[in-house]
Amino acid sequence: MSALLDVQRLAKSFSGLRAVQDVSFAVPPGAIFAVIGPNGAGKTTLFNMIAGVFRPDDGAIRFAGERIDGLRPDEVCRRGIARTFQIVRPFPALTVEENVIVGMLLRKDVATARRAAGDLLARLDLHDKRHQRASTLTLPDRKRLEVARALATEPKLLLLDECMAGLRPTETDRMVAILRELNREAGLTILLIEHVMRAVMALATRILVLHHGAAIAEGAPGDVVRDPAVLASYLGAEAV
Amino acid sequence: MTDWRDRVPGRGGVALIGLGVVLLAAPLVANDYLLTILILILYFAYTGQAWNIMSGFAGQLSLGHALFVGLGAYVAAALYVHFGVAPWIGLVAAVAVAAACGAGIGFLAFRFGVAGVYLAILTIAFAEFARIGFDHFAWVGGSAGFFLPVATYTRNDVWNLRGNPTMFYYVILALTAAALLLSHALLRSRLGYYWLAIREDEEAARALGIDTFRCKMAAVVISAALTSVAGVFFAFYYNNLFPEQVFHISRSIELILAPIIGGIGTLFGPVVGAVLLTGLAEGLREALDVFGFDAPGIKQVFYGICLLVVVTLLPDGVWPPLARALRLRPREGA
Amino acid sequence: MPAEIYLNVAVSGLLTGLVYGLMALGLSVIFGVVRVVNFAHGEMMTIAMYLAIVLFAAFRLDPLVMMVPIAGVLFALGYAMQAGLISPFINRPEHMQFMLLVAVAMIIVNTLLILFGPDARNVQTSYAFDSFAVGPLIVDATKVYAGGAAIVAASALFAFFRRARIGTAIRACADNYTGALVVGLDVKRLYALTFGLGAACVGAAGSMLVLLVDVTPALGPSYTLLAFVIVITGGLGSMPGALLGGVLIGFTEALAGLLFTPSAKSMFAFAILVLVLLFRPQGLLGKKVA
Repeated sequence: MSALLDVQRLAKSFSGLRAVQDVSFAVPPGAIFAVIGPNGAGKTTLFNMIAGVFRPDDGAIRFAGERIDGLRPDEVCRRGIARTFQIVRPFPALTVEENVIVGMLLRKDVATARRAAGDLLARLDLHDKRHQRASTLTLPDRKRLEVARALATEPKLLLLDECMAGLRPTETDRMVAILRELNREAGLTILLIEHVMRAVMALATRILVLHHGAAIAEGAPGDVVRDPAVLASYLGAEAV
Repeated sequence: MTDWRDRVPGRGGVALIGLGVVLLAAPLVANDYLLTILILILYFAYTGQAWNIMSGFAGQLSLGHALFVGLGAYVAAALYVHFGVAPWIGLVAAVAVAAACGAGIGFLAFRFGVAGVYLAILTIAFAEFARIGFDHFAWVGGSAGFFLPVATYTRNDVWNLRGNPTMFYYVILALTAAALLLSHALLRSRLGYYWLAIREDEEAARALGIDTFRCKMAAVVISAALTSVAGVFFAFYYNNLFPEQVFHISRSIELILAPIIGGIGTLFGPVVGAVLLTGLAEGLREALDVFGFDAPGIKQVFYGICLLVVVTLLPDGVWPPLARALRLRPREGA
Repeated sequence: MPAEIYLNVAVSGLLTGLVYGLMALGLSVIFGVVRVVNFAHGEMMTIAMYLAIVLFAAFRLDPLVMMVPIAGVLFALGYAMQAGLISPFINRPEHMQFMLLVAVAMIIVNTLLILFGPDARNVQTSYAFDSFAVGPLIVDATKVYAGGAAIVAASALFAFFRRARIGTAIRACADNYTGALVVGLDVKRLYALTFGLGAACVGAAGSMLVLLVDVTPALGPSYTLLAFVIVITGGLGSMPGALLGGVLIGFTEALAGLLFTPSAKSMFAFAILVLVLLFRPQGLLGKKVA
């Protein structure tokens, strides 16, 4: 089964600081692939390269067989990759429903988008808040809106950037359930950056660990969390 | 946006129709003076709405919109005076020139990532450029001014826009109504939603697959084109054009007062703002006349104070809170 | 045209440019630190200019001598504006800030119009027609004094930011707002101080400029624009950049006025602005914003 997302030897430096170096991995369709690592490990830079915000200095990114490195963010989205932002960015003056409609307009016309928005919002537990202005939402609701909006573009691959941060355990569990459902029923492939290990262990079918911009481990969750190199990167070499 | 017609109760619809009837019948009861005031109000409502499309809906702040008014005015006037081309035909050329200019400015700005303050200053620069340039443009009179032939007309000539105030009133009324309808249609279209998204957060919009460059270009071009029509009207109504006045930055600022005070980014904001500003200014002038006090600049100080009050106390403008109070609750674009 | 004329015009432009630079320095300080788009910058300068005119007309006080008191008045005005009016707008969307200052500018210009009328006024000091002859150069005394005063004022400002503790504190606010808050700096007060300083620069520049040009209320907007052109060309947040930009613009303007028609000289300033915005938005000496 060929990979949906294939990343080969990706590298990116900022003014001499190597944020990502020689990272390669493949995400099979239908997988939930987690990228973890200490702060500053290069996870968001990796994401931003896949999403088209940065152009890689080196390496290639293939999505469904097509090279996408160097494409603009909107071009990447049109090809079927949607992303959320670490610090959520709803459209503040628009209602929850309007936020989602904007996302849906990529694939649907206005009338259809208006009708379909309600259903998508219901899936993310936002239906009764659909006429509220996005700026009035609580953080967990904003995170759900961020996911809903990204889903509205009907992606094949969803990039989630620390979407559990700031959520209470019950809210985290709810989000995990929603994502599992989407993965199972719609076959949505998910690539997520996450610090909240509770969510990672509950969701991921495969984990990649980054440290100082390089990949230090990749594999099934059970193996990765016992990998000495991974433990050393998180806890310090002395602790292992 | 959920269809405003769904959300505006019958009351709002009735009010709108009532207003329409009043406006249509106005020349029958109003004297010439009142008519000129109404024309002024509608003119500012129209230009404000045209500006609103680029700066209110799409969030690309322009402080040089006088450029497009001036271009429209000069192109149509020049064609009429030098080649006898009727304004309705000249309008096509005027719109084309203004749209091309808008496209040029938009392209330069958006390709090079000029936004916010810098975009505003860029628009000012281009307007100033035109002002100085036209000062030296002898074919259209240069700084000495360009004049359209005026004669007493026994009947209204709509084709050549020669006639009494009543004729001009209906023309500008039709234009304003058309601008409102167009804006309403745009807001409900995909482009309209995309504009709002770009205004709110351009990067997030891009992440949803929106080609922000193209959308912003559309906003500038449409806005420029619409604004230039006002320029054509201006030329044939006032019959004289001076670059120092037409392209001056105070014209650009004047143009944006109505939509900002009324409510930037809303559908009815520019109209409400125009009514408020012009109405109050005239009222002020009348009041001061009574006391025999007249100084140039009083009206502008008044406008400045209005702007100050709105910006500090009513940042959304006058219309949204007013509409909420009247239970009309507009959701268009804001 | 003989080379002397070019030289004279160039030097004349340079000297005027120094005064422009001082004006722009004020804007650079305000924009660079408080991040407020001061659309009323030129209008504030016209207040200073009219103040100088009134003082000269009433008491025969030389504007250059009155430079410090006038700067003081403008300082107070700037401080009050920032503390009283602008402060809540720091975190609001940019367009709200402009509109606020556009409103202030409108009020200033038209109040001046009401008070003084549209006719041009100027200040004719005893040395208004003197000039210095240095070799082939013949330079107006007023320009030399004004240019010199500008250098003195600018140096004082630089020294303040380098040496004085408050100056360092202000620079800290500019560099890192949150960091400044965290270390306990009273950012609000420092912002007001900075705006006051920027206004003081503009006040000083005004008292110099009043010797060089005829004053009408309409000058306000053109100088606001000029200040922005200079600051953007020289580089936002760069104080030497503002001076350099000012000199450059003064120089170009003067030469353009000579080579083309005088009225076209502002076109050059705008052409430069457009080019800078497109190709080097950080300006000549500015830092590239990430």
